[in-house]
Amino acid sequence: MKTRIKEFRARHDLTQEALAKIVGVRRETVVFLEKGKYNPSLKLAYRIARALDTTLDELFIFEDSDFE
Amino acid sequence: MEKIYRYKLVLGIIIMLSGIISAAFLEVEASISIILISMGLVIFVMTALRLFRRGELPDRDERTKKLAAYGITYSWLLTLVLIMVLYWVEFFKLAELTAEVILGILLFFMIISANVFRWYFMQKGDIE
Repeated sequence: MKTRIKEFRARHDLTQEALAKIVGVRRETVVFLEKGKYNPSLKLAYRIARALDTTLDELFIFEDSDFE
Repeated sequence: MEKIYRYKLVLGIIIMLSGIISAAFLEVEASISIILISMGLVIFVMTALRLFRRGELPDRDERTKKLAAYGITYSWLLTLVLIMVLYWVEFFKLAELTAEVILGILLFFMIISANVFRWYFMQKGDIE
């Protein structure tokens, strides 16, 4: 899974810590989310999308290999 | 400051004080006082450090809770294997195992392995 969290975060001029504070997670979680190493729950994914004024489809990019 | 941190700090101080009081006024083994003082100090210092480091961000979130749960699960499974090994060691009389030794081994093994697994998953970021 790839994410565009970093890109959207930069657009909103937010630091990792600021985004973490908005969505209520640790900063490390935002780091792993941006690297695509952590699959968030639907609830967290939705909260991030809302915080970044976007949709889940825009934020998370799934490839066929992710479902294998 | 969240209530849980306040309670932990107070608990640390109470344990430490009980250790000091037991050493000064009660006739108990010195090792008990030392254990109480060390326990209280560890609880107090760890809580204070956590409180200092976390700032306004949460100490635990869905990722850390999930990884801690997986750490405990893996530790439990590994302990099950260890129990089987200890059973066969006892069955074939390969070593002298008393109940005290086995309980000691299991106690430390479970605590250490759960923390090792949790640390490993935290480094990885997630578990697939």
